Amino acid sequence: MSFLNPIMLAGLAAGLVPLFLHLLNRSRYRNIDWGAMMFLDGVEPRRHLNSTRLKQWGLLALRSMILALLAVGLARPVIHARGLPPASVGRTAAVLLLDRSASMALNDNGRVRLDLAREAVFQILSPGFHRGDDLWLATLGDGNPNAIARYASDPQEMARFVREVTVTSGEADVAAGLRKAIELLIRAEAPNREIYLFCDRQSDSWRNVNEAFLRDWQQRLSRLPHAPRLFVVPVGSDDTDNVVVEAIEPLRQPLVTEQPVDIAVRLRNHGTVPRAAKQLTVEIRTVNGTRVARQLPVNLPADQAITVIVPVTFTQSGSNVITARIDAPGTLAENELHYSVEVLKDFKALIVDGDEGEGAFQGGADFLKLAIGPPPVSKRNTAIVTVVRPDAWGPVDLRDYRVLVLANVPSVTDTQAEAIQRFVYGGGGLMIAPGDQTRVENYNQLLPWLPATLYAPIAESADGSTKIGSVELSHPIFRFLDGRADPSPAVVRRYFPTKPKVGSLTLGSYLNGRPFLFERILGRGRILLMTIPADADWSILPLTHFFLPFAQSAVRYVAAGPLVDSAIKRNVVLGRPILADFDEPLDARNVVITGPQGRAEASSFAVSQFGITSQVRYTGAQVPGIYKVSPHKDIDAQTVQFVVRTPAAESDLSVFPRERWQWLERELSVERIDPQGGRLAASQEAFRSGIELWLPCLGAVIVLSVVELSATRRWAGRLHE
Amino acid sequence: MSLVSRYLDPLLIERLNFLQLSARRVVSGNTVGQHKSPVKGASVEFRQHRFYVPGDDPRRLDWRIFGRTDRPYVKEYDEETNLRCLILLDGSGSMAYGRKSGAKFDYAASLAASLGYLMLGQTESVGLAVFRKRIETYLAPRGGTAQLARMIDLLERTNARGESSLATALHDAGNRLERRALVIVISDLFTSPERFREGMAHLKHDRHEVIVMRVLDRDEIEFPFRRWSRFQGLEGEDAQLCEPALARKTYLERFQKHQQEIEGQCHALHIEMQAFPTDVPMVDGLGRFLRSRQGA
Repeated sequence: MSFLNPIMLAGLAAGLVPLFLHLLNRSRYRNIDWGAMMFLDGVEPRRHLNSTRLKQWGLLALRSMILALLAVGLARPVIHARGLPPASVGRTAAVLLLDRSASMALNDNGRVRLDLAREAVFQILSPGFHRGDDLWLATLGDGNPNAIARYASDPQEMARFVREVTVTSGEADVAAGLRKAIELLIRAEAPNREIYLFCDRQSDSWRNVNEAFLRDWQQRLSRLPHAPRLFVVPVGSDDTDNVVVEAIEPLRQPLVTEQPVDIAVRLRNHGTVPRAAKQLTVEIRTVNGTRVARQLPVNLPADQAITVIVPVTFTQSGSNVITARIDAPGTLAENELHYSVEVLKDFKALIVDGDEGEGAFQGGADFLKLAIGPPPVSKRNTAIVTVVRPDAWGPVDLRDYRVLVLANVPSVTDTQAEAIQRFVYGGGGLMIAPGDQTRVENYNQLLPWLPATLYAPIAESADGSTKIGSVELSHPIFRFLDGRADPSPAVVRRYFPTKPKVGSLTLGSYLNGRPFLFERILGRGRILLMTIPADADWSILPLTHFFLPFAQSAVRYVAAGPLVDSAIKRNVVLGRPILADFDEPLDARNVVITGPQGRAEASSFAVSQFGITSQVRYTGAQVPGIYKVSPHKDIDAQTVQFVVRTPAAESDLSVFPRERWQWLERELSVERIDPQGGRLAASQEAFRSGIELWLPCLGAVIVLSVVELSATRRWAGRLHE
Repeated sequence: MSLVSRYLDPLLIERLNFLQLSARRVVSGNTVGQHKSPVKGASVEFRQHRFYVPGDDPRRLDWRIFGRTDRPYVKEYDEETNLRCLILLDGSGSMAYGRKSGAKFDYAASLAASLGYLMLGQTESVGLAVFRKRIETYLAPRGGTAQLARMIDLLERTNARGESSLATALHDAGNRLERRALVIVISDLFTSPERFREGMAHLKHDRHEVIVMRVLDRDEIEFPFRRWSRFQGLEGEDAQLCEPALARKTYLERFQKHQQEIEGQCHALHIEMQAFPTDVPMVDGLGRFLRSRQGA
């Protein structure tokens, strides 16, 4: 049973009025001084009293029933049942919420889920709706909650709209869809209001339908004259098989051409069946073409994620896209994942060596150069290293380098300090290894943005030496340790005491707790400050097996600062804008953006100038894929590739649990219609068919009124006789 | 307003001047009046001869018989005496009730004063007794205009209060009246019919003529209350909380039954009874009653 005018049900409270008046009168009796008490004595004996009370309550019940029935009648009740004629409720306003999120692209026993949903919509539209009904089509998974719903007053026209719906890679949000449906129905004038939700059985779509939503829902419903009926039509099977490529991550930055690098590819099998020997393909896409970098079989345990390390080599510098594809069940969009990276042709490091020693491996610069710039023949971890004396470099020299290393540099001039600061702000990496030549007062004064204040070096007093006790193992610099707790056997006899500054991070400490290594982010660049030199005077650090990977990792880390930022910018989630930065002024007319759906309209992006730099902002990415932003019309070395990705939540096809369905049916009065077996139209008819009961209610009110009148006259006597 | 005018309505007095209250039976009196007396004395209407006994008035000897028979006989005549009337007024608490037309006691007092005025004007002797559980105030029947003032003074000093016992009062009155008289009982008669009969039987046994005037408020006749009410007894009965609409039927049944039983007792004892609802003007009620007695 439902009510076409449920607000009148508030009148049910009127049923309490007779009771209230009765009790009020009883509590407010009047006193009468009476002479003829002999006729009143025992006028209500126990038996008579019981009978009288029974009659009183009978009359009260009658009167209450009359008022309550009147309220129910005014609320226009409709009883629903199969076989009953359709209720004469006039026009219908309905909102069709169609899920077109990424999960709706899943192939379900040979049928795409969206096609199944479309068929369900068609079954509902005909013969359930007629010309003149108000119909809206709102889709879930657009990635844009403000998308305009399409309106039609003709079911045929609405069917055409539904045919045009395609799968997006967005994330469905049922709560947002229901709110939108209510907003649409508020405007409708038709007396009968309905909401149909066509979706798969994915649990994640309902994540925001919670207690808070319920309160909001009830508040919104109160704005309607009567609550709409809410039908949910779940399509597809309970099959949750879906193998997805969850993430791609280069294990080392920066990426340099012709230098092999390990790429971590995380795969997840959401299904309950293990998958064996599935082909994983990793491709490298440059702005000019695509090549397969690696193919290998992988085994995927059920309902688990695995990480596959794939070594690849980039052959072309500039914007590259790593693509990982797994040949396994699931939606096409999720079997494949792209990751945009910036690949350097090479990277140069400038080491300023302040050591006075002239022999081989007398200064830290010698060890560092060997560590981060091994002979080119090794083809690994190669940086182009230049070593200069402190007095032989100028600010101009920094333009060509990504990393500056100050090894035991005694002091810096004002000009040099300013140049170093600009260098770091602009994205350069700075590594400082002070030594016996270093004048700490000069550093503290001219380089105040260092992570810590340096003090005069001291020797360890207890046994004359200490060791590197602990490092921040979760930090990318120390990834090479693989979590080993004992980082280095290096004995340290002398070091610089320090006082950390606000904003700095201590990455390692000696056994005595004094810091060994600091990090600080300054602008786009990174700074590392060691408290011992890179030579073997105060410690044996450069002579240990710890030094080589540490030096390489540290230098790469400070060099990759801006690259990491660009990686974040170049891999965006659907719905977020694409922001492309260029180090030159751009003419908007020359900017070209191409995506999976072709070239973007010029009106869909904007170009902003910031001095000598420019930024292109594009918000028209509606589908996931690779978008190329070319600043000079044609594809060239300046072209940047962006990856727009699907929300990861859509990958989880876990079905909506039974108890949650029951909760929905109880709290939201959801009527669930199973479209399987062609029963959809019949179920809809069953829900919507019925008889209006206001006339029987009115009849019952009249009959009860007559009964009440006669009962009153019979039991209470004629008062005015 | 003077005491007289309070209990005696000028309009009523004017109407009463044309009416009279006469006893229907033989009554005893001290003075010569309009009513036949069972006392045989000097009169024009001879009744019988009786042998002289010491103490008889020698003037009443029939000397002619004495001369012929030498035996002393006394002549007896039917003597016409004045009416001796006692008004028994109910002064109990129940008589204090009166919602719209004033208290019943006021009405009854006016009724008693009017009757006293009427009968004193006819040179009758009128007495007044106010009773509750028994006769509490007794004004012996006397004639003369001063008696009316005494009656009104007594009425003025009397309030309706306390419990009543009509039967006891009637017994009391019977004991006080030495000779036959007209006894007028003015009460609401809220007593059991059996007790009522006992008292009335006593008076009738003493060969008094009795008239019962029942004074009732319209509420007591119709019980028109509608709202929940708490009825507090005027004669100390326990309070009763009830819904009048539901108690009304039972009340009226009991009232009618009581009325019928009282009327039955009166009829059986040849007692005339008249109801005086307080909402009916006394001029009409009393006038109608007196005319009906004259016409009888």
